[in-house]
Order: sequence, then structure tokens, then C-alpha cells
Amino acid sequence: MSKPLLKVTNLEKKFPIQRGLLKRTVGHIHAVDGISFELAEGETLGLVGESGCGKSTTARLILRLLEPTSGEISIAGKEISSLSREEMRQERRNTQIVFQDPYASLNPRMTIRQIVAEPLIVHGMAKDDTDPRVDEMIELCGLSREFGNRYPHEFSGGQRQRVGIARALVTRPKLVVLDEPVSALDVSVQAQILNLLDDLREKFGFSYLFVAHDLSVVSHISTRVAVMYLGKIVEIGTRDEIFNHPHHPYTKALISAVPLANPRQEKIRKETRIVLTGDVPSPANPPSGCRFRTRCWKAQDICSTTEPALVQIGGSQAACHFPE
Amino acid sequence: MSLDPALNVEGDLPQSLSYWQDVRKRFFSNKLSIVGLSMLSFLVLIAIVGPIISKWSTDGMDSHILTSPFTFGHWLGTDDLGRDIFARVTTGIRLSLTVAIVVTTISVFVGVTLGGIAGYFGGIIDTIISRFIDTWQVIPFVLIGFAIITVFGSSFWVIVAALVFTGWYSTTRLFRASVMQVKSLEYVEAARASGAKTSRIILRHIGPNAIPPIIVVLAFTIAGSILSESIYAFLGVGFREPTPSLGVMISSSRNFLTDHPFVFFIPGSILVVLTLSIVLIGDGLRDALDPKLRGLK
Repeated sequence: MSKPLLKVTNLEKKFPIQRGLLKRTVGHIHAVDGISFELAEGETLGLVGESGCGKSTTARLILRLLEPTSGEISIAGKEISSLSREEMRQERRNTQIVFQDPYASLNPRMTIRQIVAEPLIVHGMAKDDTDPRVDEMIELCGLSREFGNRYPHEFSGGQRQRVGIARALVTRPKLVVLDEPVSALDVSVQAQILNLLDDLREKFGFSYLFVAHDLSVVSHISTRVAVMYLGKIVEIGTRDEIFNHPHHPYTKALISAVPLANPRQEKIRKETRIVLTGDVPSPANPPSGCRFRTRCWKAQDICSTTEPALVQIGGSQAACHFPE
Repeated sequence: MSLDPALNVEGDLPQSLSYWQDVRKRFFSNKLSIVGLSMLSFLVLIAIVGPIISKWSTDGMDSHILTSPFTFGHWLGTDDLGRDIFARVTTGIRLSLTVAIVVTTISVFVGVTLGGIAGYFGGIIDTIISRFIDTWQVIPFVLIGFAIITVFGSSFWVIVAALVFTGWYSTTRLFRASVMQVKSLEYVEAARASGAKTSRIILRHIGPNAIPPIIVVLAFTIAGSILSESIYAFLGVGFREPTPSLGVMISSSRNFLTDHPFVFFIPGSILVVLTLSIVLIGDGLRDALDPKLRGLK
């Protein structure tokens, strides 16, 4: 692993729960609870987990679209959580984001060219939307430059997502956060967009933080994978290690839920599938000890008293008292 | 790279319309809004030209022909004091429109400023502004209007102030809601993530998308102000004789309504047509500005 581009240390985010006329704080939602990971240059880290486990919050914290409660985030050796507003604004050319919903993430009053040009203009890298880099980026993302003068409502979801990607990549950022970039698209279009992202990464050497809940998408694009559960990373490792030798019971359960294309393998999967019972506990009141213990078939007394730390097991790190 | 071949067809593309071009096209393809626009244009035209071409003044009394309909020389006849109704009605439209436009301009200015601040910054500022509006709404302004006009007289600016007092908060509320809604959309977050400054986010992203609902309210506020001004005049807390306001004319003619109904019906029907035309335009604008109806013929 080369030197880390992104280094997250003990990142934490609490949202206050307020009630009543006086907005009294009655508790906290612990959306992200002390997570640490690194992302090397040119690497794609997949961040997976169920809805509400804190993956999108993590993505927004890294871009400082949300202010972290505590913890450190350093990008290319620069600590960003202590930057002033203006310093952070200038730093944003190095970190960009692609949003989940291509229908909501493009301003309906701006043309495609204006949308793609905006990051260049706000960073003083271009004077207006006639800059050649704009058309070049639109074409690199698989759209014709004739579409530059059109408005977002004239495009399909997949085409709009290409515009969103062009906007994110036009400043040639070092780190690109992809917040469920394909989950709002049809499966056939998903594959096109994933291939486009992969091609662009190879060409320009971007590093991706890929947030998703779809494991097959994550296994397609990631070099490393981190699995989150209730605001914590439960397992992190290379893609092959996570998918072939999962150590944490939660990872195992997630992987066994992915359908397989081969009917013979699919039959075996169905027979041995681990079906988790119950729901994810409330992040306002997480279980003591290991957060997964309420749904884990291996849970013992120690799981409710001691929180397991992330430790090296085989080729990956897992946080479990009884790893596989 | 996997390209969708359909995306890269060269050749003639249909004309791509900007938002405002599309709004204009849809507004003018709506029959009712054309009707409203024609009626309003006609009334505005006679309001401008009428007092110039009429040889009668608004308060000159012709004692020989009292309450006589369509007499030669008086196109719409005379009222109970022998005053020319055409001259009074056309001046009345001028007055109504002027009051309505001034009131609406002030209300929208206050609404956009306060509503924008409350919606964009939220928190304690929003709470203060919103609770102030809640309190303000329970004050009975028609009663207070009596008091104000008794003290200050029924001058133009007193009446404008009375109408602004009752009108500013609805535009404020609406713009606040509009800004809050747009502010939470992903493209605003995307602009912030791109590194856009707050001023750019407000001017290029929030502003243009939060303004359209205000344009519709603008039309309805004008219509509402015209009606309120007439209602105030009718109740005796607005303009008073001999000011040629539509409300004043309706109010003074009600004493001889059964004997000389035309004196009542002329200003009355003009008031109805004037309000209706503006409401039709407002309706047309609402449909034309609605992004969900874009592209529909």
C-alpha cells in the first residue's frame, strides 16, 4: 500500500435529538461512532452497510458538508477538520462528490455546460463555461458536446449521472466520494456508469471512496472494502479477502444474501444462507458491548460487556470476539 | 469506454429552451391567461387614455343631468351629483392599480428579505420571525384601520400602509418556505461541495429556484390589494368622497341602487373584471412556472 491519501482517525458524529418548544436536547443519534480507515492513492475503497448505518454521513463528514463531532480527517497529509471556511472552500477542488439522485443533484436552471463548468469557475480555474476542459470532460463522460446547451430535464437518469460525474471530475480532484452513485439507476445503466468510473480512474488516477449498499456493485469496483454496522466499521480488508474469507458474522450474513448467477451455486447459497433476525437497533440507544450481538447467532456473555476492537485476522481486520 | 450510441447522434437537435423561454411559451399557449391578459391590457389602456380623452373632470358636477344613464356627452352617464362616471371610473382604475402595485412591491420586498433571511439561516432568527408573524396575524386590522384613518386621515400612503400591514406576512411565509425547500435540495449541497461561495449559492442556485412561487403570489397580491382597497373604502376606512376610487363609487351608489342600478354596476363590474383578469394571469403563471408541467403542451 502506498502512502495514504485519506486518513480518517476516530471520526465521530452525533446528531442531537431535540424535543418540545424550547428544543431541549433529549439524546443523541450516534450516526458515526469512532471510525478509522485509510485510503491509498489510486485505490477504491467500498463502504458498505445497511440503510442508516452511517455510510452517507461518513461521506459527508469527509467532505465537511457536515461538521464532525470529533476525530481527524487528513487528505494528502493536510488536516481538513481545522481549516477555516475559506481555506476549506479552496481545498474542495481536491475532493469532490457524486450524489445518489441524479434528478435532485443538478440545478434545473443551468445548462449542462454551466453545471460542469461551475467547479472550475468557483476555483478561478476557468473564466466561463466556454473553457475547453468543460466540453472535454463532458465527452470523457460519454456525452456529446452538442448536449452542453441543454437542460437537465431533457436527459435520462443515466445521462444525468454522467453529468454529475463530469462535474465532480472536472477539477481533477485527488479524492472522489461516490455516494451511492448507481443505486437510483437501472441495472443495465449501472454497469455503464461503473465501467465509466473505472475507466476514468485508470486514466487519471483518481481515488474513490465508494459508498453503497449493493455488495455486487461494491465487489465490481472496489480494491478494498469496509463494512459498517450502526456507526462502526466491523470489518475492513481487501475485496478478495472480504468476499472469499469473511471473518465477521455480519459480513458473512451480508455476503450470503447476495444472489449468485450460477444456478448450482445459488442452490447451495439458498441452503446455507444466513438470515438475520430482528432489526437494526436504534442508533440513539445502541446495545452495550458489541453492537451486532442482538442479531448475532454466536453472541456470548462477553459480547454484551466488552466492545471488540478491530484486530488483524488473516488478510483483513475484524471487530469480533469470535471471528470465523 | 461504454458509450450509449443513442447519446452521440450528430445532426439536428430540436431547439432546447431555457426555463424562462419555456415558461413564456407555456403561458402564451394557455387560453385563459390570454383572456386575462387581454382584459387587463384593455383596462390599463382605458385607465391611461380615458382621463385624457374625456372632456369631463372627475369631480365637476353637471347639475342638469343627475343619475342619468348614457346621456349624450356623458358616455357612461352621471352619478347622483352629476359627475361623469367614465372619467371617475377610469381614474378609479388608475388609483386601484397604483395602490395595488405599490402595496405589492413593498410586501414582496419585505417578504423576500425577511423570508429569505428566515429560510436561509434558520435557527433562532427563523423562530423569531415566524413567531412574530404568528402574533401579527391575530391583530384585527380592519378595526385598527378605523383608528388609523381617524387619526391620520385617508391619504394615499396611510391606505398603502394599512394594506401592507395585512399583506406582508403571507409573502414572507411563502418565500421562507420556498427558500427552505430549495436549500435542502441536493444541487445546493453539490454547489457547496464544489467550493462555491455562499453568495454564489444564494444568487445562482437558491434564488432562481425559490423566486417562481413569489411571481404567482405577486399576481394574487395585486388582485387581493385591489379588492381590499375597495372593501376598506366601502366600509369607510379607505379612500373617501370625493376621491374617485372604485370602492368609494360602489359605496356611495348603494343608497340609490334600486332606482339607478347602473351607477352601482359600472364600477362594480369593472372591479370584478379587473380582479378576475389578474387572477387568470396568476393562474396561467402558476401553471407555466410549475417545473412538473415542463415540456407538456
